[in-house]
Amino acid sequence: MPTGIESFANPADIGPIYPFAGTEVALSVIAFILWIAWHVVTARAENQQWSELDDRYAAEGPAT
Amino acid sequence: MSDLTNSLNVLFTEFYYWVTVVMMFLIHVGFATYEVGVARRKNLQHILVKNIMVIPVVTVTFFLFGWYIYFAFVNGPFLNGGIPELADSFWPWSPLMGPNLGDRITGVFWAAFLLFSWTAASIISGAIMERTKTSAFLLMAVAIGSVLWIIDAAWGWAPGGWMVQLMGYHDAYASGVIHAIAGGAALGVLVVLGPRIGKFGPNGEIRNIRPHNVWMASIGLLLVYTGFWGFYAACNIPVFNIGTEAEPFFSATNIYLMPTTLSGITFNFLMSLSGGLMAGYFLSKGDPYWTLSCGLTGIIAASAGNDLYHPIQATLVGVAGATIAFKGHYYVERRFKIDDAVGAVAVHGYSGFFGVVIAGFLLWGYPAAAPVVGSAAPWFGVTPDGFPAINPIGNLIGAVIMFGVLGFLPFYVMSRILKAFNLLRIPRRVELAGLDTNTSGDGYPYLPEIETDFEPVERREAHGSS
Repeated sequence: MPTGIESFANPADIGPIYPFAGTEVALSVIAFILWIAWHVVTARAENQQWSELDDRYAAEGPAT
Repeated sequence: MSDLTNSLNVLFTEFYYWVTVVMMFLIHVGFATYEVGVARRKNLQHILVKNIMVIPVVTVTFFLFGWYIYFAFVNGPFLNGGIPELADSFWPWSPLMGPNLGDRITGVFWAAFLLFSWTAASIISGAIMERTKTSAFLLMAVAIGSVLWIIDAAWGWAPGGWMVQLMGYHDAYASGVIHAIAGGAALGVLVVLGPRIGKFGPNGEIRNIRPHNVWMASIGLLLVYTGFWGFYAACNIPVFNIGTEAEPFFSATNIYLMPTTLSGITFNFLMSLSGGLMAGYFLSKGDPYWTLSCGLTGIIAASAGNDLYHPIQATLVGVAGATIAFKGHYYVERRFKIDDAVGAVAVHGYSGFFGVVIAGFLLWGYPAAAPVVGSAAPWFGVTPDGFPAINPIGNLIGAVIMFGVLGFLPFYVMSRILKAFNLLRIPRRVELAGLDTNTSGDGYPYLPEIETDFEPVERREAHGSS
C-alpha cells in the first residue's frame, strides 16, 4: 500500500515528501495532547518523589 | 531550482544555517557542562538532566507554536498592523513544516531560532539551580523558549517588527532579544524562589558556595564561547542583494537585512570578548570563573551593535558591560539578598540591557531596517532615505521591554503561581540532603567526599529553621 510518493520523476511538481500527507492537523493535535500530558505526568511523579523523600527525612531526622 | 546560480545560492544558504545550528549546539553543551561544574556534588546529576530536558520540551513546543508566533506577532499584533497571512505557512500542520521539495529554508531557519530558544532557557536554569523542581523549570523553559523570547524576536528582531519599524530598535546579535529577557526572567524567578539554604547568614552576610569543579565550569564557558560563533553567523543573512535589480551589490546582512560583513563581526566578536576578559581579570583579581564570565559579558554587551562598531568601540563596550555586570551582581546580592548561583542575571541581564541602550547612542541615525509598506511613521526619527533611524530613546524603551515587560514580569507572576501550588521549590530537607541523594546517587561514587567550610553552616541553618 503506497503511503505517499511513488515517483520522483517530476520533482518540480512535488511538494511534501513525507508519508500520509494531509494528516498534518491530526498529527499536530496528537503532539499537542502528548506534550501537555507529558508535563502533567512528569510533574506529578516528581512531586511525589520529593514528597516521599521529604517524609522519609522527617521521620528519620534531618539528613546529614 | 532549475537555474544554477539561484540554486547554488539557495542550497548554500540552506547549508550555511545548517552549519550554524551544529555550532550553536555547543552553546547548550557548554551551559550543561558549566552548570554541572558550578553545582555541588550532591546536585550535579539533577542539573544535568534539567539542562538535557530543555532540548525536547522546547523543541516540540517551538514546532507546535513558537515558530508561528515569530511570524504572527511581528506587528504586535495590532500595534502596527494585524497578523500577516505569511504566518499561516508556519502552523505545525503547514506542508512547509516538514520535508518538502518546494522549500529549502524553513527547517534550518526554524532550527537556528530554536537553538536561541534553548539558550534563553538555559540562562534561567543556571541562576535557579540546586533548589528548583525540574517540572517547574521546564514550564519556564517553554514559556521563555517557545513564547516570550520569540515574541520579542518578532517585535525587535524581524526587519518588519513593530519595534524596529516604529522605534528604530536595533539589536543585531541579541543583547536584549536573548540576553536581557532571559536575565530579567531569571531575576523574576529568583525574587520568588529565594536563596539556597545557608547562602545568607542571619546578619545578612554572604557565604560563598563553591563550585564542585571550577575546571569543568571553565571549560563549559569556553564551549559557550565556541557556540557563540555559530550564533553570530546565524544572525546574518549570508548573501543578499543590498543594491538594486539594475545594479546589484551582494553582501552579508544583519538580521534586519542591513549590510554588515562576516569580517567585521569577527573583529568585533573577538575584541569585545577580549575587553570583557581583561575587565573581568582586573575586577575579580584573576578569578577564573568571573574572568571567563566577564568575557561572555563583554560579547553580550557589544552584541547589539557588533554589526557596525569599530573593534575598539566593541572592546570598550565590552569593558563597560563586564564592569556593570560584575559590580551589579555583587550589589544586588548584598542589597536584595538575591542568590543567583551563576551570576546569570548580571552576565546576561544587566549587560544585555546596557548593550541595547549604548547601541542606541553609538549607532544614532543609522538605518534600522527598510520601511515596510503600510507601516505607520517611525516615532523617533527617520534617515534621509526614509528608513526608521536607530536612536537612544527607541533602544532604551526596547531594553525595558526586553528585561522588564517580557522578562521579569511574566516570570515573577509565573513563579508566584507555581509557588502557590507548591510546584516551585524542592522541600528543604531534600535540598539539604542533595537532589541526587536517594535518586541518582553520588556522581563520583569512587571518590571520597570532602566537605568545604559551607556544609556545616548549611546544616546548622537548615536544622535551625526546620
